[in-house]
Amino acid sequence: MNVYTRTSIAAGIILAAMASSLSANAQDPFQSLKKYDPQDRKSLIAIRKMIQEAGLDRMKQATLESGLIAVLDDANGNLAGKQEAAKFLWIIGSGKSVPALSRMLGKPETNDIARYALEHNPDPSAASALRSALKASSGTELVGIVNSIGDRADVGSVDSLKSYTGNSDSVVSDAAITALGKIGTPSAIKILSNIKPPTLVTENAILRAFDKATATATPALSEKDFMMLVGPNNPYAIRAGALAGLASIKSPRTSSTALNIAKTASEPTLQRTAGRIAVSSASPADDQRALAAWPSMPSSVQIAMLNAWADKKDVSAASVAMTALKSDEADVRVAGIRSSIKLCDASVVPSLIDIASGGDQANVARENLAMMSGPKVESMLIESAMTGKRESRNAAINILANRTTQASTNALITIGGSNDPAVSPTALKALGRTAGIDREGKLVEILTAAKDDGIRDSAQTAVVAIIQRSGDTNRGADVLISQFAKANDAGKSSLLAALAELGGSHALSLFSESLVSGDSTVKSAAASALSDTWQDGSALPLLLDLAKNGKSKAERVQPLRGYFRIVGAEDRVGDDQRLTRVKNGLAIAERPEEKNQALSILRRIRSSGSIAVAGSLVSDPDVENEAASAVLDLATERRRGNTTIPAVKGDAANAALDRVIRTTKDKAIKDKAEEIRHP
Amino acid sequence: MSTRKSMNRRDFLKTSVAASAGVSLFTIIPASAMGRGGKIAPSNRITLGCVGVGGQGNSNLDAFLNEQDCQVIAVCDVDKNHLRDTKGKVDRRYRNTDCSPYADFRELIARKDIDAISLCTPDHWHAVPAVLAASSGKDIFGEKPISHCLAEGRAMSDAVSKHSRIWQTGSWQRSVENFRMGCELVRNGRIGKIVKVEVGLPTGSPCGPVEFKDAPPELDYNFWVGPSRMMPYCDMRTHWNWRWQLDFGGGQMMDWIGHHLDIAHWGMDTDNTGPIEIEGQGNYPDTGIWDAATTYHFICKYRNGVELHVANGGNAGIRGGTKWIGENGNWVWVDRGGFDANPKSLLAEKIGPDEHQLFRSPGHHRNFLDCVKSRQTTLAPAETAHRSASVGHLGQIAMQLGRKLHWNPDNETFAGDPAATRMLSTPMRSPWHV
Repeated sequence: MNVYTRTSIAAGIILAAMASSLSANAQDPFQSLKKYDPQDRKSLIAIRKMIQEAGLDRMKQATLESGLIAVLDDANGNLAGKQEAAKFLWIIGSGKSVPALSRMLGKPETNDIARYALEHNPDPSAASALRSALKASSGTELVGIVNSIGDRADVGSVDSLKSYTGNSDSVVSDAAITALGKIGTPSAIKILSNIKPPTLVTENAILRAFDKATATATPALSEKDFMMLVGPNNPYAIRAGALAGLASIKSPRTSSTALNIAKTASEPTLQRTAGRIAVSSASPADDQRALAAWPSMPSSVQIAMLNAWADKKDVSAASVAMTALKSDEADVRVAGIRSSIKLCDASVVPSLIDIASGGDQANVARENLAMMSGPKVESMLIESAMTGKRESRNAAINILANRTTQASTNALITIGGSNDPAVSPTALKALGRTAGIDREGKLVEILTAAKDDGIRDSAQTAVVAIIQRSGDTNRGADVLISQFAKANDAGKSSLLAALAELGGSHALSLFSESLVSGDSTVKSAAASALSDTWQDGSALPLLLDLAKNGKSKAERVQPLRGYFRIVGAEDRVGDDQRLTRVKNGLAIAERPEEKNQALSILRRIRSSGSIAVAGSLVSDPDVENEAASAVLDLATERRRGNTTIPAVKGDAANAALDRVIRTTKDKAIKDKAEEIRHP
Repeated sequence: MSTRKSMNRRDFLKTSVAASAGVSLFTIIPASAMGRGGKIAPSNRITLGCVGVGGQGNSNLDAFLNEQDCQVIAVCDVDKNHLRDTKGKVDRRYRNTDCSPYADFRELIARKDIDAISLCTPDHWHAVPAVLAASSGKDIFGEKPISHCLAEGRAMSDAVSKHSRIWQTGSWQRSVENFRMGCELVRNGRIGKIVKVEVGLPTGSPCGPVEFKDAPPELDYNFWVGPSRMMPYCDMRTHWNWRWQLDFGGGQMMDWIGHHLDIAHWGMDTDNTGPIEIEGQGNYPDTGIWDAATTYHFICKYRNGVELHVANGGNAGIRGGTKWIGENGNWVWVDRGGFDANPKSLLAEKIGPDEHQLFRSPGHHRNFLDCVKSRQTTLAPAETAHRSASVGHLGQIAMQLGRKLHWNPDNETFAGDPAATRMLSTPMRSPWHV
């Protein structure tokens, strides 16, 4: 009995003990795995549990590995079980499982399964097994093995892989080239450098190889190597990789080399990369060199350098950022704006406000000024918002609106209340976006004191927005209501419009009073606001009453239209209640327009009651075709998105269809009704 | 080479950046910056190819079709029905028949006239096309979670960085105001020093018995499985259901990690790092083909002592959404449509310009397009997405191994745990590799 046989017997005993510890009745999970059913993972969960219990104990793991090897070796086992065994082996496999896995390499049905485990196996024999399998494999199996060798970064395979880099099958050659990039030794780089012409795959492999070569504490390549590879006769990827390599080893030649490449390279990506690397140095001398070189750089490099200085907040580049604001190139100006708020002090604010006042870069300047921090920035913005030309004042106001400090909000309130049509609306709109509920009182004062419609409208919008944001509509409405009596006619109309937008019981009380007011202006404004704006069903009784009792037709029509608007919009109401509301409105509808409003709501109430009401309108000459169409719509199955909405069926539907058939003069409608009624 | 060509085109596109950048806060792009009738001429638009156009990919397509400075010129999917439907949608939108359909993303990415791609494939199909696209000079709008395993995320972030590409992750909550405001409160110390963070995500569910059968003719199933292990086809395998299988997705936990955990990291200012310890437990269904954890709870400790809990909502008393808890018991909580704090007065707090302000997004897809032009970093760049997804991957490994793991977020290695280390990467089925 040799050492391996003795080990196997011991392992079998331990394995049995581990398996039996799971449950007295549980089947040995390794036996189950041999006939694995993908819909029953109890064996997998049991083995995972055993792996958990084994922890970092290599002895226990080795025991489990024996069980998994037995699954692989079982001639009668299914592939699904072997695949799962291999997955466990990619976690705990050692040299012990390599022979079993090796036997599976090269065969189409098992090659990948074996690779999964071998790729992660740290034992040197796993690498040897993969290397040995190269020659015996072809096609997809060969590619898989090459990929695994690459992922293992197997230094010993460089020479073997070299022969595949020129393979006539590009899938094979690309895999070999990629694998060499992952290995990344000087010899691998040399092979990759000699592939002519370099393809995209080759360039990527070279870049990856450079990463690998410089990732360790003792890089595989020296400054001398990198300086040679960075030269202009080398392909783009070699130059980019070598330049990054120079930076990574902190070579003192990095800055000057990068600036030279940034200025002279023909490849834009390389130029930009070089520009950023040139700015990355911590050395003051390198910094000065980069600052001096900036004006002579191509615009794409100038942008890259500005972004890099801004990223590291290098204020020594403030003057460059200021210069960039005046560049002839629009994209350099944009980069200048973005970098100047990080690099410059408040002295740049007037220039940026100037840009923010109009022109193609206005939005960029405004957005960045809103974010700019530092002493005096805020006070300079407020001063610009208070005085100066209209364009720059409005620009500064919009910037302040996005800064949301107490000082900026106070300034906006002052401007909003200044009754200046040139700037007040801008300030009020801004406050509507940003002010808190604590500013409501002041804004209501501005609204009621406004002498200009634009200012009043802006104040109204702002008040509604901040009350809605506060989440307490009634409390917000109370402030408006308290100012109502004191307001002039225009102010009252505006307050009513605002209250109608807000809704709520307190607002509704004011509407009840206003609708019976002796002041005809107030009464009319209340009716309009309620009809056109109010959002929920609480106003329906008032609107129905107005629609019934209005003196003129106009006084009746507007509230009825508002009534149907709300009934149609209130989708949380049950179908029965909705139908009752429609019937109540229809009972007083005088014009086809309102009857059609009612029919459009009926189409969405898919019930026998609804189709009966629609059917009753078929004989109304105002809406006969629309009513017939509604009946057909209700009696037909519909699709909304992924949902099927069933047809309305039964006696009411049949009666409505019969009525359509009898009454309609439209042949198409009649035919359709017949088709539904007598399928 | 495609890189050079597309860079030239993008340099040309940058002529319009001056007008369109910064649209987020102020009004709209001035009409003078556009073509006739306020439309941007097709030649000035960012050309986009959409890879993966079912489900969320279709939604992303809609978002890009609504952007005037973007022109979708190609769609790609391994499901012919998705391909047919989305080509039709794009053509109807532009009133032409120019949108090219592809069954193989490599053909789409090889097109030199495409500036950027929208990548919305299942998780196991993120890394290969993303790395190829980045190295081919394309900018990428990629869905969350960025990766299917931690090593793939590292490869993707490195590729994006190495090739100077723009990447935006579909972690769109960063573009929504309440999430930003919550993060700003936390970052500016309104709850004091953070001691604990709770991330509540949805609970998973197992599936019943399935029938294995041939894939439908419209689906190229072999391509769909791609780099993952081959599994027999059934209807519950693909199209959205892939999320609940570890070979293709990561369950509810990984689906949402790129949302609520991403927001947690944003508030914690840990976008470029990760935890140092991870431990936890998950319950994995033992029947059916969905094998991702349905309930789970893992705890991560960060260098500054913050303890971050990730759990399915309700588990361990953790509420759905993201909650940062300060040393004095003050807290801020955010969720979709939800924003709460203790004390409530925090909700009315304003963050001034001299405080730490987070970027105010003009919309998630809009931000991507802006950055394609300006070459600035997006709101959810690849490294950020990699770090948020990493927490999920680490939690997944900890739950499967059932022990506390010690992680170095600087070099992304485990200390003294070779088994955990091996679980950082997933071998790929041949011929796929990154």
